[in-house]
Amino acid sequence: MYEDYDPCGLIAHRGRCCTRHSLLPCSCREFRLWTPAQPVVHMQYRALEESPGAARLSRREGLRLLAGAAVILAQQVSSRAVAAQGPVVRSFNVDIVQRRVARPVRTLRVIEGERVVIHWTCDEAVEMHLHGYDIELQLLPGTPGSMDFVATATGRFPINGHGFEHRALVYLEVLPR
Amino acid sequence: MRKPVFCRAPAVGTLVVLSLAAFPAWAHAFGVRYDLPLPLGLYLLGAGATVALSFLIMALFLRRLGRDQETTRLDLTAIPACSWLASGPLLNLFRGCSVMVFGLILAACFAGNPQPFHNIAPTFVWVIWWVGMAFVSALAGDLWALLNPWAILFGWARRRPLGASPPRPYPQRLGHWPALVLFLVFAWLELISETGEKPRILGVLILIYSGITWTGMVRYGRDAWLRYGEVFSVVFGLLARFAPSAVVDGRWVLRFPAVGLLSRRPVPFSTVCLVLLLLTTVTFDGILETPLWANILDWIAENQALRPALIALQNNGVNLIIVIKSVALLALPCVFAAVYLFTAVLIARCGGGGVSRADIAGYFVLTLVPIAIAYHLSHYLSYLLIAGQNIIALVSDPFGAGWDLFGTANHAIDLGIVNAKMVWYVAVSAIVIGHVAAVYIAHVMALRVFAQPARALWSQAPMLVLMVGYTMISLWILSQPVVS
Repeated sequence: MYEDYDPCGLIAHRGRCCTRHSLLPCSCREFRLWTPAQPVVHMQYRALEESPGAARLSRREGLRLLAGAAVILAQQVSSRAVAAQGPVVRSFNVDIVQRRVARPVRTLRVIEGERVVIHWTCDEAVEMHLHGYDIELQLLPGTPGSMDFVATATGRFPINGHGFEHRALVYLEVLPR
Repeated sequence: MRKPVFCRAPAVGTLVVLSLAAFPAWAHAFGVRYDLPLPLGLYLLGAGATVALSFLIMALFLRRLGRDQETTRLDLTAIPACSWLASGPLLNLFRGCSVMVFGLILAACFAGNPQPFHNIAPTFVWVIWWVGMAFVSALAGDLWALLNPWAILFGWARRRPLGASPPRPYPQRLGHWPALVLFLVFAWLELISETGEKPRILGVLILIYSGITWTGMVRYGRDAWLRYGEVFSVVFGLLARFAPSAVVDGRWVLRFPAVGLLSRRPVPFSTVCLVLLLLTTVTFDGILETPLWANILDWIAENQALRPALIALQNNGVNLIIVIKSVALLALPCVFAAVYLFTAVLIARCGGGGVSRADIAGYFVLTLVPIAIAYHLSHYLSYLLIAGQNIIALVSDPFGAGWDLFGTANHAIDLGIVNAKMVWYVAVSAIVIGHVAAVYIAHVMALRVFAQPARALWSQAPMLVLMVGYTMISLWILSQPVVS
């Protein structure tokens, strides 16, 4: 149903990017010049009016993640009290404003085996993609979302907003023990 | 379940389409690298070892240790297992398999799924064959000389009379220039253009290259073309000169690594240029992922003098990044060549004359190859092990048609197969060992080229500076975070 309308080839691109062979690059290497006259390109979340299910899903996700964050907070408190039961939790807050990370957090560093929680907010609708671990997250303006996983593989993994500018917004570095 | 799709507003769509018309680009044609930058401690350790070992080797040569390892060989054909492996019928079986794989890849290119990652051809060609064969050539031996499907097919066809005129002698003035031009095109396709990963285009490229190769073979004879024009035979053959095994006088022998890079005669200027181009492209791939390159792009994007021209180009539908990278791909070999030729002049001067500068350049260029091999290994190790895993799923479904021949079609990539620590240690060890091999070989060459041993050693001072510099560039790139 969406295939007919695809002015920027995102469908073909997504097909490559997020299928079973997920080791694939995203549109993170385009190089373009912004002329002053050129407006900043804003994306429309078309799926909103066409499939409200998606919105409900992410709202539900948001709630779940809020709950998750509370749990993590509790865990962090308790992990300080009881010496490290289960993996250490590293949590980060990343806010995207006008397609840039609001504060200069370019690299999130964790140690192999730690549990990583990244809380996102964005001022526009976007799908965040953590490469390698291949975790995708739908974000809506004003609705925070988070990624929660255990950093099992070492490496330096870019995190992109699908359709954003050429560069990765943030990198996740998982250092070996 | 179909996921919702984002789309840009149609009002700005046209503008966006202009600049996004080309496909998303990534380095070395295929896949991304997740390598962690080398930590500072290991970087310094590698750098220190490089410099210290360089002087140690010089000191060893002052005492005139280590000569004539070139002729020390172990005949592998005397060992029953190896002689069985190198027996005629088995070799013919390998050749047959190679031709079958060649056919399968071509068939997949044209009849398979047009999406690169659902078709075996792009992964096989760019990851398994190109990166993997370079590893095998450098670390084991010249396997490509055995498996080259173009050579095998031409050999089979030649058994029957073709009615073609007998080959003419290969014009020596052409030298390695045909291979150099073909390699430049190949490097451009690999590192810059993104079209080579599309199965249909890849198939057409393979057919075009087959046409060029067979035309060359018909015209100049198979062996001459393999030696001068068939770029992969030339490149893998160059890397295999480092390898510890080789076929010498029809016998499969084990030898000291890198002694194959010693030459009796200076290589011609076209070969010098080809080797330098090969070295540059290996480094170029790494540079494209450094923050330095990202800063250069930023500088270009913000440069007010260039801006009008670039905007005009962009509005004409030119993909700027491709233009910029192409210019860099042409410029960097020139910089490398200038530095090397300047070093050659210094070597000639320090060596006390008697040997022309062109000959010096021809004698010593191969001694740089171990450094390039070491960097290549460090740079691609995790890539080969991670991106190469795609092939496990693809052998079960080579055409992307939903088959599951061997039950591996749903194999997911295991990122944990290589730990960053292992990659770091392998990388630094490889780079230091490669550097040592290069310095050693260059010293042996110097003793061979220059009459007086003292002058020969002194001639290696500029070479040492060049090699330490080159090794440091490799280490520096590895210590940079990958920026895509």
